[in-house]
Amino acid sequence: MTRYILSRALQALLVLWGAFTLSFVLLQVMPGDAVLIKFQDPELGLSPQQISDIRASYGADESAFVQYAHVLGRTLAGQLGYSIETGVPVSRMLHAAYPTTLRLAVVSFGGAIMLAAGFATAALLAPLRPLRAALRLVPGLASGIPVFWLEIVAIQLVSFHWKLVPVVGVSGWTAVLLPGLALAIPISAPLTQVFLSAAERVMAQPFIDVLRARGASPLRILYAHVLPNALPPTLTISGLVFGEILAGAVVTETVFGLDGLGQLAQQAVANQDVAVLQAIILISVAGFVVINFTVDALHPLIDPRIRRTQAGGAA
Amino acid sequence: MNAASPQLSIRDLDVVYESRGSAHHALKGVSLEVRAGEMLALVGESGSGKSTLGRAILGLLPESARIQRGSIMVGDTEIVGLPERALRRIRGARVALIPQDPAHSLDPVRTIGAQLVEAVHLHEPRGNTATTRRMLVGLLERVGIKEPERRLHQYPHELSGGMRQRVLIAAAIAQRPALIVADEPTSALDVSVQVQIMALLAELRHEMGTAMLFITHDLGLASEQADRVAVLQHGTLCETGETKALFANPRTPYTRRLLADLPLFHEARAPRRTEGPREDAIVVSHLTYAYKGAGGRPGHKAVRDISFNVVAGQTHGIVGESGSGKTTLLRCLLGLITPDSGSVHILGENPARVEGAAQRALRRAVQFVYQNPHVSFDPRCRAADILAEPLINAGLHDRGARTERIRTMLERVQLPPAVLERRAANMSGGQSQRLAIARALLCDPKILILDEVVSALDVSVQAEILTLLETLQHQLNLTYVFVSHDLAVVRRIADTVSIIRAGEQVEHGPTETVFSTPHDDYTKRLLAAIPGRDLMRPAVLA
Repeated sequence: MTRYILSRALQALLVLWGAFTLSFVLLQVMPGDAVLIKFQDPELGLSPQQISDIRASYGADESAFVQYAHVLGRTLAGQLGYSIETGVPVSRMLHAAYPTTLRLAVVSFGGAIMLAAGFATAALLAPLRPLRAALRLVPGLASGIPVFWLEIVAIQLVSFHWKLVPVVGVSGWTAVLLPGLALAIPISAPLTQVFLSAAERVMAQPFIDVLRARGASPLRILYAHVLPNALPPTLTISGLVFGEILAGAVVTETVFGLDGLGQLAQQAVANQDVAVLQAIILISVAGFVVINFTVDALHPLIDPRIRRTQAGGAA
Repeated sequence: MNAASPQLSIRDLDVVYESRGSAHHALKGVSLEVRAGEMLALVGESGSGKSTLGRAILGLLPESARIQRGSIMVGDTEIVGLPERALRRIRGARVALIPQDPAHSLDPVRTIGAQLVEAVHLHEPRGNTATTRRMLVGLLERVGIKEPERRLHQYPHELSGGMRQRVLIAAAIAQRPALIVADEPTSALDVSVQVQIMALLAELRHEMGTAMLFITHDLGLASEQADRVAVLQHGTLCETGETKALFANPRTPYTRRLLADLPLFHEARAPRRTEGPREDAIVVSHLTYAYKGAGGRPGHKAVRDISFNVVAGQTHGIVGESGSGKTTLLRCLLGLITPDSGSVHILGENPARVEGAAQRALRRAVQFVYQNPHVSFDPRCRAADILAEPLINAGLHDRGARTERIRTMLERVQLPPAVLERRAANMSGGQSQRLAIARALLCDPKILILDEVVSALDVSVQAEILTLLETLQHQLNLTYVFVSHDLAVVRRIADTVSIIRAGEQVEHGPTETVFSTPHDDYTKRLLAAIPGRDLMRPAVLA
């Protein structure tokens, strides 16, 4: 088991390094750089000579390899560098931005799970076959709703019209309640779809009939037997859905005016603030890797049949 | 309740399946009774409605089914029309089910203990887990499970098929039900395990006075086990009676035909003389193969020192229970794996060594037919495409020539040309198996390897396919390797036979000799376990 975890950790480091390198290359390929964007404005009245001096001081005129080695070395040492736009240390910006995004992720993911659970129960246990068939179509439709549109409608209706949740001048958990729940809808859709199809495969198995023949109620069969059996594929998808939360955070934080990582990423892209962008990419990838590792580690706990093969493989 | 009172009494039961306006009558006016301590065998082929009847008794008919009229009394309770909540109190407590497929009838992710405790507590909501577990240890012991304490902590995949069925039996009798519906409880098990399970069911029935409805397709098994037999055909009960009387003197033509189709009733194949020199199509000598264990260590030896030869135009039967190494042996014959020691020669070639054109020729000459006709085809493919594929692979690109060839082959296997437009999913078991044989024959093979090809079929269809195989062998001078767990079938079709147990060839020789004078204890036990052996013609078996 230790060997398994070690090899997975090594893989994770490799993924992080790959993401770092790829993002560096992509950012290099883009024309221009942050220094140019900031200082080439004619109103600043800087001469081309002065601008190239400034670029030299930032190391922007070095060859790509030297820059890469420099940035990689700095990052490995735990230094994320300074924002070119504001001159503030990137770590301080991240520190200020991450709580909002973390809260947003928790609310939207928790909301998505509850939504998926409630909806799947209804779609599996509804009394009539046509009703169940109709309910099965809903997640497919929900996954097609554009997040920004849903959020604008949510602000208009829930906050301005019904005045249920304030969205202006709020902070902490209240601030992410409405955006989180709005984001939960498109995120819950793939979870529900995968769970429903897995659950239907499980429910077609003979042991479900045997349980019914023992007098178990449909709800008991669903929660005590179908759920644990249908969980593994759903868990895998929930790890992948984390990526959608990150992407959704960019849009959501912009629509709701929240100061989170998404907002930060969006500004960094606009300003070609390379140091900030790379830090955000690294954090996102790290989060993604950790979540998917957790998901993989959970599988054997749910399915005893995997436990044996993994023990054999790790021996 | 006295012994004579019926625990189950069904009167004039009509069940209809409705879908998109069309109605299919699954059961028509069925009436039967099962008394306490009695076993009634409900015998029928697939589609006869026997499973529908079993489900109706448990109140578990699918949504599309409707009970049109009639009554099902369990003890003194009417099941028809009973609300779901009341049905749940009866299921498991007064009527229990022993299912068909022990491999898939337990929840794979929960321990045996958790599932058994649940089965008990569904009807004893105030039950104490520790007390229940103590009771379960005794119960598992009663159904013949060793080390019951340890088993409670294990998961289903850690138990053998026979043990899982014992666990399911324990769950079924936990509440001492008055009626047990056993739906093909042994059809997924090896014959030697089948004997044990049926013996256990008989013991429990006598001990607890439970009434048992035994649903089976196996007339032989029914003849040995049941007090009375009911024969179901197309949803109608065509004959009911005391077992001995019914088998000695079947009244309806359908029952007579079912009995006649039993492979047991056929003479063993007489040793045939081939004209001219005997030519061996397959020679296997001292074949050994071991699967590699973790890290390349030598693992479990799947087959050890197996030798036999098959004369061209004859059939060699390979008999073995699950895990005996049958599949490994076949993989060696097909050249999919290379034996560790010993050799395989097919038509003079070593299948694991040949390459290039010789390999392609050998692959065409040796064709394989799988056990389950329903899973060996792409269900969405039309029969025409299924048959065209091997011809295209063989380089026959002319459409007209292909169609011609396919038509001849359909005639050979006695399928109507209309079948070509059907999809594999919409064919009956017999039709798909004929199609599979046709596909195998398209490349003019010399050898057919037949892996349990009739095991999934009803007896009447089984008899037809066996006859077809015999005819084809005669017409085309084919050599067969016929793998089966069913000794009666092997006895009918094979010239020579190998009995394999745990990778070892315990007996080998001409079929008639092996069946009449078996030397090995295992062979003797297998022969004794053939269900319905008493039905065999007396002269056939010593």
